[in-house]
Amino acid sequence: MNATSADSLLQCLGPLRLAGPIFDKELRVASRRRRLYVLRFAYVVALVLVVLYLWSSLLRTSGGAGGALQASRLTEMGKGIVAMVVWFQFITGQILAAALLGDAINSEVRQRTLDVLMVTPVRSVQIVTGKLVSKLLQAGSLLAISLPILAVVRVFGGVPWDYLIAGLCVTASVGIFAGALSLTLSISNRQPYQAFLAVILWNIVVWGLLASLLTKLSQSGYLSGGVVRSVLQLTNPFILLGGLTQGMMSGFGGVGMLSWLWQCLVLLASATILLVWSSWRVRKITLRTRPLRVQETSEAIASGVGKPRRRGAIRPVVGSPVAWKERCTPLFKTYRSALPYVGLLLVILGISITLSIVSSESLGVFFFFFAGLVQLLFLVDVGVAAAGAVSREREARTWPILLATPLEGREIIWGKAIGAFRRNLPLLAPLPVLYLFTFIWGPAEGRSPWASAFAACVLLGTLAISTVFLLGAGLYFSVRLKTTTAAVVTTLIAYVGSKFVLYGFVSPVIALTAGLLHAIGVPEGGVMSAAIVATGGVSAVVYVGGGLLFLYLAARRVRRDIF
Amino acid sequence: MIETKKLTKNFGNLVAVSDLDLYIGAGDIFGFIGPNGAGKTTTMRILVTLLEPTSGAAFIDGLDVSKKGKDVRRRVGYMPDFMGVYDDLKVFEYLEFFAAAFGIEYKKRKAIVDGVLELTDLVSKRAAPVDSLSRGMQQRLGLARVLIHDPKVLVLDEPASGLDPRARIEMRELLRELKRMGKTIMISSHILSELEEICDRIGIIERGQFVFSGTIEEIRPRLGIQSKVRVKVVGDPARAIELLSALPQIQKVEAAGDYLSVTFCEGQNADGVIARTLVNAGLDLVYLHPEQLKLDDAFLQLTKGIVH
Repeated sequence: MNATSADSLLQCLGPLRLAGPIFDKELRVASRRRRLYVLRFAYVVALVLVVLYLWSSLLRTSGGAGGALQASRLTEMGKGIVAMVVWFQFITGQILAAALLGDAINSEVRQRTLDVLMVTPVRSVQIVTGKLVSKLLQAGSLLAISLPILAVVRVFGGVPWDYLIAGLCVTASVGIFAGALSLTLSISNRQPYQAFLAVILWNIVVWGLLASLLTKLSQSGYLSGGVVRSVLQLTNPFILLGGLTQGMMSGFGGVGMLSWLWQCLVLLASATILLVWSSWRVRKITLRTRPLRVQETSEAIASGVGKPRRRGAIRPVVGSPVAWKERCTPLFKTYRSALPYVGLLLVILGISITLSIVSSESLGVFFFFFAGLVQLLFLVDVGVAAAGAVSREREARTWPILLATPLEGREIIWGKAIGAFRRNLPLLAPLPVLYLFTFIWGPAEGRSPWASAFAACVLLGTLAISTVFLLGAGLYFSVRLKTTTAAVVTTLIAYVGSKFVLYGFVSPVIALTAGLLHAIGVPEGGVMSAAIVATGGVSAVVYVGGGLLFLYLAARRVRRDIF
Repeated sequence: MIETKKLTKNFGNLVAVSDLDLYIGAGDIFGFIGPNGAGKTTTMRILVTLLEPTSGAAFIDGLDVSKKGKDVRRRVGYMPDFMGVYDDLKVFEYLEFFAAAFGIEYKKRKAIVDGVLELTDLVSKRAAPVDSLSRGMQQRLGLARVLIHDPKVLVLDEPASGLDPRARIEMRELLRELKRMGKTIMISSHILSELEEICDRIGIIERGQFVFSGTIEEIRPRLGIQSKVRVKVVGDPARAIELLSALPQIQKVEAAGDYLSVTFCEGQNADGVIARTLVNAGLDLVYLHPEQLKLDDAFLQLTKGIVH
């Protein structure tokens, strides 16, 4: 073998060769995007807040003690901080990978650049690998920010190297898996947030619910405890990292090296399978979205040979035209696209029923759990529908056409809000029935009909105020931000963030006030009731007031930044 | 009907439109021409109230677009350069939606929608999903949409872009029909020859300012272009050149393939003298035709292709 052929062979086998020019392009583009810098800033802020919170809480638990005692607890504090940082990386690594890769393929489809790429010598596997590697590098560079903290804190002692290495390896492999899953889902989902939410859902269902089910089955004697524990440790990264952390904190060692190495291999192998499948799908999707499709469909309809995709009578426009238009947008475009969601609901239903049976809980608990999930889905979809209401029009370039009509900003926003709510009525409709079943079959001990009615009112009230907030925030961010994904993510962060503010800041203040009232002689029962009412009242004011304020601001901004 | 006074629009440091003065009378078709980035779309967006001017004023039917936005929108039909469509609606539903958005009464909508469908020859597509239409059909649908509220003024931003020759001809016929209906039309296009055929007046814009505004006939003196004729003789072309060059009305004679290109001195037009001279000299004159100044040529001469 001469030098030239050896060079060629090395070039072919090189890792960058596998990723191709896409890798280079993605890195070049990433540095020009504001999103990367916003992410870096947000990551550092979140990391600092987490470390400060942990540091303060650890100091508080050893508060009042002298310096000697604190010094003796340094090891424990070091372990706590390391565990917290490792878990923080573990969670954020998955979120970052899913978020960054959620637009990997659909952005190319949207910008009509995928067809162009596919007629170059670049292979589909290079497109997929290039996207994955470049985005994971960005996520990895963010995670690397926290490495110095781990190194410094380890100086306190008590943290074994193998925990750090195992934690980082599991984080890396689960991040790669989440990225590969998000990339795969970005092929079939038009919007990046859909792929992102699907990855989160995967975490909840497969690594949360399924693990709970298997654990319950083993506890009830239906499955062997040892087998279930082994299977979960080898396949579920949350349980594995939990075991590793427990072992490190107790100092007795938990999970063996073989387990985490094996799990890393399982996750990497799964990611590889997803990538291979994605490479095949990318070419399929390119063929499916060829430009002739529209023409063909049109000609087929004109000649009467083919069937129109949407049949049925022409629907008259009744009431607000904007609300009518929103109602016309179906929850699912086709029956086929609804299948994964229906299947998922059935899986959750099945797991819930099985959990209810094997754990000998009352049927009411199961219904309560299932109603909670449906309510969560309803709220998420209301937020998503509201956040996409305007930004989707902007992306489809129908927004200027709508604004060239004499419709006022408030008419448009009100119509969009009504439309987003009504579109989700199919998810809202079963909730009263599910909650009714919860009260009928729930644990009866110490509960009067009035208490049940009160609980029902609280639940419905919570749902109503959250809906108002999500509609308002969603529409505001939809008007304010350029892309649907940015609007959806910001809306959901605003909602979750408001929960943190309410329960992390407002509730403790109310509890403190209640404690003071009790201290000056007010009866405990009265204080508790007042505290509950006050918390509810503050929540209602914050959510309803915030939602209405957002709606008002959205209506005012409608005719600004149109393009 | 359409007027701008010292209209200026800045995007940060970029001056998109600069002190633009424009007047379009009622019932006129005004062609708006310029290289990419010249400020055509920005001007149109200001006129239809989608952008606020930085300074100056714009009026539609005497109404200030910045102050009477809602009233202006009732009087204007706007078709953007790239028209998105709602992919969940059918053609009739799409048009009825905009009829409702323009506040047309429910009872009158069906008749109006049917009317514009007929005008734009889309009756056969009445129940077809909007996103299944071809590009040409979608452009027609866009035109149907802007007519739904019977506006006095139509602002059409490159309505023929991306259309095949047949669709372009159909679009041109449709615009002629709209002119007959008395609509005032402002239309931008890159297909300059089309504007030449349908426009009463044209405006050539570059770097946000008009470099020319007037009728096609007014362009020639503006450019200082002399009249030209093309001549073909059978026999001895060299002698023809010699004879014609000797005439005092003629500035220059050049051979152009089988033809001769004859340029008159400024203010002169002596087709008869040419014919007489050549025939009297015993040469067989087989072709004599004045050369037209094409809008494409005027565009190239007036603009330098400088974009922001």
